[in-house]
Parts: sequence; C-alpha cells; structure tokens
Amino acid sequence: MSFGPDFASALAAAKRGDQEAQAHLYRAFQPKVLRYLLAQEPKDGEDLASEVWLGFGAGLDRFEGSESDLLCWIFTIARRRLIDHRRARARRHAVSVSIETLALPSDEFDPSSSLEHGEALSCLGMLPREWAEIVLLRVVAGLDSAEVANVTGRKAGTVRVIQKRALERLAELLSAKHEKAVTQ
Amino acid sequence: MNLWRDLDYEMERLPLDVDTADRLLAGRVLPADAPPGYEAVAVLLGALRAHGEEQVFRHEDAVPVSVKDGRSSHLETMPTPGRSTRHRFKLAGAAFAGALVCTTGLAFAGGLPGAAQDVASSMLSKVGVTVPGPNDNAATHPSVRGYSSPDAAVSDDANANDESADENGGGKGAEISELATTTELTGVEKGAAISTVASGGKSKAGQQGEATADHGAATSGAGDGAATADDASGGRSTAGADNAATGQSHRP
Repeated sequence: MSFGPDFASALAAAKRGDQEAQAHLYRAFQPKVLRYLLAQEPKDGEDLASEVWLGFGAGLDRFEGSESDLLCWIFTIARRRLIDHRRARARRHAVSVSIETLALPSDEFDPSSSLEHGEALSCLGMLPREWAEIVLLRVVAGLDSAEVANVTGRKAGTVRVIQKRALERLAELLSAKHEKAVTQ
Repeated sequence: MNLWRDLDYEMERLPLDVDTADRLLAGRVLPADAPPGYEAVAVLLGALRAHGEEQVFRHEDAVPVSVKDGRSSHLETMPTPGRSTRHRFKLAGAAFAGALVCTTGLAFAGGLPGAAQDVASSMLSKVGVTVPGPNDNAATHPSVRGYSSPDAAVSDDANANDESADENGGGKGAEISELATTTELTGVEKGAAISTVASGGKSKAGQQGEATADHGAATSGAGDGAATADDASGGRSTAGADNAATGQSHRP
C-alpha cells in the first residue's frame, strides 16, 4: 500500500490528530510491521507491534520526511523494540527461541498456513541472525537495500553483499535438502 | 541417448551477482526466470512474502482510535494475545489508587488505629488537609488513644479500663506531677519523695546508696540488706552478715 502524492497531506492530517489519517497510516504499515515481528518473535510479535505504534505516536510530531523515510523510521522503532525485548528476555534468563523453531506449529500460527512458509522460515533460521534479519526486512517488510541499511545502521554496499551471500547460502541449503529427500 | 540428468553439470548453481540478488529479494524475478539453482530460492522468498496476508488482518477492525491524542488508548484496540506487562501496571495502579482513597476516607472519619491515624494526620496536614489526630478526643487516658471521634465506638473493655484506672490511679499522676514541680527537695531526697508517693509508701528509694565518705554507710547499707533478707527469709538468711561484720563492702 502506497500513498503516493497523498502522503504529505495524510501525514500532516495525522499530525493534527485526524483519526482517519492516523488509521490510514496504521493500515498501510501495520501488516509489514506485524509480519516482520511475528517472523522473529511469534509469541510476543503483536505486543511488540503495539509498542512500535506507541513510539510512533510519541514521535509523530517531530517526524519530517517522505513515505520511505516514514517506513524506515517505523522499522527502526520495530527493530529497537525487538532488540530491547531480546535483551530483557536474556536478563530474565529465559530460554532463547531460535528462529528455526518458528516453523514449528504453535497456537500463534494458523494451522492452515502453508507448509512452504514453514519450510521457508526453517531455512531462514539456518542463516546467521543478521543475514536472516536483512532478508526479512527486504522480503517481509518490503524495504529496499538502502532502507535496510538505514534501519540496521549498515552501509548500503554491506547490505547488498550480505543479502547476496544469504541467497547463495539459502540455495545451498535448499539444494542439500532436496538431495536428501531424493536419496531417502 | 543421454538421460536428462546428464546435463546436470550444465545446470550447476552459478555465483549470484548483487543486482540479481537484489531483484530476487524485491520479488521482481519469477521462479521460472531465476538463475540456475535459484528457482527454489525464488519460491521460498515468494512463500515468505505471501505469508501472513490473512493472518495480519485477522484483527482488521482493530485500528488505533487515535495515535496522536490517545497514545495509550489505541493500545486497547490493538490485538494482544495475552496480558501484557502494561496491563498489569494498570491493575496495580488502580489497586493503589483504591487503597489510597479508602485510607484517606478512614482518616477523615477518624476510624484508623491510633498509630495509623497519627501518621495519616501528620502526612495530610503537610498538604493542607486537616484530619483528626488520634488523641483529639481521647479524654485523658492513653488506653483510649486512637478513638479520635467522640462518636467512635469505644468498647466496653476500654471503658472498664478507664474506670479502673480512675479508681486505682486517678489523680495520682497530677499529684506526682505537682510534687515534682513544686517540691523544694533536690537530688536523692526528691526522687525518694516522688517514689514514695507513686508507690503508695511501699518504696524505700533513697534509703540506701547515700554517698558517704567512709565505708560506714556501705556497711550500714549491707546491714539493712541483711535485715531485709532476714525479714524475707524468716530469719534463715545470713546474707550480708560477714561483710557487715568486717565492714567491707563490694560496692564501688
């Protein structure tokens, strides 16, 4: 969902407190935010998304920029909330759930979800966490490499190299998985 | 005739360039158009991208009431699978506010126990609120401390205690106080006089321990102690006899 030329007026209205404009922004960005967070924290993703919008509301007055800038800002908030959440969980000495377990059935996921998605997340979980995060930001959040670089604080060139290596690793993993299935 | 897999070497996975990787991630390359060895990757990325469309808007109606003005209210409309920490904080805050209102109400009514009424009175007076103290209506006896309202229910036990206090010791405190402030006696004599009045004549305070220059008083004191011991034991005690005889005292 893109605002196009209407973005500036929608943002201005949202800043003035127009609830319709705020709901419009929410509807535009919440699916991506929620998908990004649920892919990494299935149990707490929705709570984290709520916190993202809390931060969004707190800082909306000060935001200036384009639609792309707004998307980057929202995902910067989301990423920081995610990092804070993981740090807090580490302090509580909770067991860290690896991304591989995201493919396992849980109450949070609709059982009718496609098997392909489970396999996809399972394969993604075999990548280093930084690589997996970049792939998720590209594919699930719909950011381009420059925006991912902005969100993650890396150089755009570094992001492009990482995503290339991530896809190569994914190809290897899928190939190995396929061969294993054929031999069995 | 060759089998189809004889051409596998020709279909080996090639190194991916960054631009192609970028296009794959952006969804601009269909699986059929993907480079050799990357068809499965394109399928995988498509699965990731497609997933969640139905899941994300399970709660499509749950849109923020207001992001700007109702910064916390929109949270109530957000889908939350379980009770969040914020919800628990709200409950704790409501419980604290309720307890505060109840305690303040009791303080106004003067219905708190004495010590609590005292604390509430002093704390609320600092913020300009006047509530009765624990002893404002407490008559003259500490046994009714805490009954700050004349209408407060004073138990029968408290009344009984009050009456017995009047019978046994009513006015004695005033008498002692007057004696202490008006007597011309000083030092040991003053203490002995007050003690005698307070004990109803039973006290022998001041009869021993008078400072003297020699051991005679100490000997005499020991003799008095022996006499008291004799009285108490019916003449069987020998306490103090030896020391009295030799004129030695262990008192410093």
